[in-house]
Amino acid sequence: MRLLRLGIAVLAPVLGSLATEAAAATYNVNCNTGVVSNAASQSLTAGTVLGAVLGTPGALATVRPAPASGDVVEITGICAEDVAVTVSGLTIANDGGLGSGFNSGDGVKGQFEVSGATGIVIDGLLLGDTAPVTLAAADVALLHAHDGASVTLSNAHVEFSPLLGVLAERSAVVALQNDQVSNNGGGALSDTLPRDNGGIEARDNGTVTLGAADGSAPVTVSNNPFDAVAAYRNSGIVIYNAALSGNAAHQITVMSASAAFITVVPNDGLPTTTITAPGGAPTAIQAIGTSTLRIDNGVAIVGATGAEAISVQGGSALLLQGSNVSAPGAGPVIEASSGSVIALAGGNKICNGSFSGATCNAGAGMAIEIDHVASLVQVNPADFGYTAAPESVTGTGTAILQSTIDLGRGIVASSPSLTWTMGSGAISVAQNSSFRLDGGVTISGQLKISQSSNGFFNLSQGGGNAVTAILCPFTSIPASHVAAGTAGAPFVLPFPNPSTNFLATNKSTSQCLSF
Amino acid sequence: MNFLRPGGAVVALAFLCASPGAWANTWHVDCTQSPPTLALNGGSGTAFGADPGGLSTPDALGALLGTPTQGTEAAIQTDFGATLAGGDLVEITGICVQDIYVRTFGITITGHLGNIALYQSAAAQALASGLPTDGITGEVQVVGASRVEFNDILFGTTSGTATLATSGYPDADLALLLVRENANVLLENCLIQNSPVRGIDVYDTSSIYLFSTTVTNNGTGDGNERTNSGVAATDTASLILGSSAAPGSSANTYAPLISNNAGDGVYLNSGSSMKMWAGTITGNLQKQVRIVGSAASITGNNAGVATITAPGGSTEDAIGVIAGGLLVEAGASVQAGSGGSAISLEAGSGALLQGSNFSGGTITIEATGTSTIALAGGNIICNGSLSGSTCSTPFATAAISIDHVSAFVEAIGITGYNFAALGDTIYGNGTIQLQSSMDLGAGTPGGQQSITWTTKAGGSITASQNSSLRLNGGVQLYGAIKLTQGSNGFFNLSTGSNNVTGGVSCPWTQIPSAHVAGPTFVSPTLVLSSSPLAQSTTASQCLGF
Repeated sequence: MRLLRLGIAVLAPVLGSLATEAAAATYNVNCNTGVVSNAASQSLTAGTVLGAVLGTPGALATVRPAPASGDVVEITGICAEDVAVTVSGLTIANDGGLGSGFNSGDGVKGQFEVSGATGIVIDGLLLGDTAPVTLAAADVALLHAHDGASVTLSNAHVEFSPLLGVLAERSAVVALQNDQVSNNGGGALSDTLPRDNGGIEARDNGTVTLGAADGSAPVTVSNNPFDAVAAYRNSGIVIYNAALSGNAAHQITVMSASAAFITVVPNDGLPTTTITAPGGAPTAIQAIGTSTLRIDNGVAIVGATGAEAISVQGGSALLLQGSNVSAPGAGPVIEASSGSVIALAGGNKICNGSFSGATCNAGAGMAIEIDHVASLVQVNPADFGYTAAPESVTGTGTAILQSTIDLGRGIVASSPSLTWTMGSGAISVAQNSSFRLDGGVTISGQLKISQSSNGFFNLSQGGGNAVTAILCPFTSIPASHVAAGTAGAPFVLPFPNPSTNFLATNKSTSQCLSF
Repeated sequence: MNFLRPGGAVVALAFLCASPGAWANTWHVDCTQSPPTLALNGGSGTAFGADPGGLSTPDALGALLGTPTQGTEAAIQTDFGATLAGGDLVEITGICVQDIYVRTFGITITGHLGNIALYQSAAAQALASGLPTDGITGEVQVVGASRVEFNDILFGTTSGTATLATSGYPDADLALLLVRENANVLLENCLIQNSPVRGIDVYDTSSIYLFSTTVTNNGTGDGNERTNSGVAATDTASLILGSSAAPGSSANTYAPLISNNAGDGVYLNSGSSMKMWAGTITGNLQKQVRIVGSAASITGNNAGVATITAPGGSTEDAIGVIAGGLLVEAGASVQAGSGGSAISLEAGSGALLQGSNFSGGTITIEATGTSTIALAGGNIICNGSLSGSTCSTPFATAAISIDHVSAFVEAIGITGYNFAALGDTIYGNGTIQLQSSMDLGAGTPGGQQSITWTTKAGGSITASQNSSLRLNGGVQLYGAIKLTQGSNGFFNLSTGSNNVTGGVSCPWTQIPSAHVAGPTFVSPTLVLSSSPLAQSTTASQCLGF
């Protein structure tokens, strides 16, 4: 019979444990010998000892007392097994203790799973191996945090996973600090899906952060044969300080209503965020399917020859500020397609070619392409908390298939808000597209408007507009108009002198129509 | 059970579930007794006072699991020398009438048969042994607890609408099962039915898996889609339907069934996500899947394991997306009723479609309000009835409609998906309106035209109201193209040939205004007017540029 029945609410949390409070314990787990040392020494099996302490995918921890929140588990040697942490507040470090730095001799060669547990710190360990690792059939990553788990991975290496290096899935968060993530993916021949392979991934409301919010603790993500960092389905990527390079596929992929924030936080001369695609790699950074990119404050992005540095597609958006973006070859360097938007918020340098310091060594290709009902706009930097700064584009441009380019924020720091330079090429606006300058734009090159596309010029932002030449080429019937003020009060220089007589429009000079 | 990752497919689950026999403690709640009893590890039952539906004085199940106003009773420790903890199994016999709060991580709650093996699907369970009869009538909330599993449990009633408390605790009267505050739950072989409101509500960054589980007959049908859905995932929640399996296999996909709910079958809102590895969503009175500011991925695993079907006479869209993202791939099937669309995209939404079948509806697939549809090959889009790969006439209004600054593109060869190189097939008319764009032709993937489009008899793809249509090569259109009202056509052969059996025309009444570029890059070739003043009205001649 019950001896006590509480008829009134008892709101004490029920955590399934009645353990009394105790000082944090340290478990020394030797995966070479199978010995666990805590209050007393226990001799277990070397190949399963860490799972006995932390838990495995099939069972909770079996050592007694089991680690509790606040406890530290220190590993000696490489534990070749899958482990699954379900207890919040644990710290798992190498045998030098938390903060002792990376130790390649201590780690886990198997899937390190964190299931719903929060406040987990993994420090100074090697996850994976220095040679390709074979994971169990059920495994998906060397570090798999899921279902609300939160993990800080610091001073660690994550290497040679056959699939993913790090996966944050279903509302899990993994914060990477001072880590190296390399050579992950491509080792499971039965699964070569890009979304199942690569360096770091967030999926289904997962979040990954690289570097610390103060700009310290840079993370290196390199030489992964698939995407370096990816986010799928409402997931997030935050990069405070990282170097992404040499990854054979995309350096960053953001898909299905996901978001990436890539920035530089100045921190006493520490290296800043750089993203560099190797030769032969596809688009360095891509956002697809109503996803968003925000890149600001000095990020350097280099695309591979002939591939985009940044591409936004399928209703996605890019907000770009204060960053250097380049790619050699045909280009474009940046592309927006299918209902997507590129918003320039000042201070950018977009270069078809390569940078030498802050100088763009111009190539002969395209800088920006806008197509399929997409838009390129300059936005007010103050609306996003930025200080206005002039920006430059080097290379040709294209707007096609119902697309729009709208430039000009007036004079900024005594310079036009945008200076667009190209060699003998042009900005081509075609297929029912629109091009507008609002003041504060200098274009050194031709602007060609054709195929029922139109140009609109005004001085609403002040500062004037200058274009080397504005042309509306046609073969038989003129179909492109410009609104550019009058010869006496032009809104762009030189004044394009549009035809006021449809039948008398000068084909040889590619004369535009007026409205 | 712990789900594997067969054949290299992506794992759907990594729950921690100890195997039978490894439970820390096994609790047995018998709600067929009066009052209900509680026993531990096969011991004799201890009566806990009957208090059906009570909030302050729970009966056996509430005393063990917790209620809105209390956790596990201290009396249990006193009576049994143990209390509920992670790793425990709780077996229920009969129906417990009780509001439950689960706050303990890592527990498994089952019917009286214990943690039974997963059926291959919800339908298989119904056929083999019938749906669960042990369970809970009341609102069950899993609050902040991770890895909570229910197996062979009925939420709701076997018949008749369940009665839920409408006040007295947070989120009363929202659903039969609520999962909130970063909790995560696995449902195996379960049945959720006869809720007066939602069946399942998952929110606040929580997640839920439905394996071989049926969600049916929930909601009162009061017209509010927010309160009548079968499953709702909101506020950055995650919903997983079925499990991954070896590519091309339907085995071990554990397809759930979400059917006949008075609102939406699945409702996603506010940054939530759905991964549908397998399942059937059908017969729900509003949308089968509604996606608002969220993202969903639906895969048929090339084995036909994902099917979404609106009721025959429904005027609702089978899948409606507002400011969200959608991927449908690998042999999924989406069928509209007679009046809606199979897929409708609005307000800046995007959809990538591959290797799947879409049929029915007044308009089978629609994009509006700056939305984008991308076809990645292997799709069949049928504005009629689809049987196998055969689309039967008569077609309705349009297979594809793109309007209000929206775009329709072919994305064959898109990187990052490993899609097979296949062409797309469309049956029905096409419309492009209000500053919208259609861009067709991506060569000859797999040796076939990238798109083969058959319009309604005498029908067309019609572009109007300042819109654009471009063909790049690899297009076979059995029908006509009509360009009107300041819309233009652009033809090139960059990826193959363009064949339009019904020809390209530019109808106008008073003043011609539709142009064509590349008139010789489409077959039959066009003869353009060289002067708008000399243009033939009767021939609907297009202007050149």
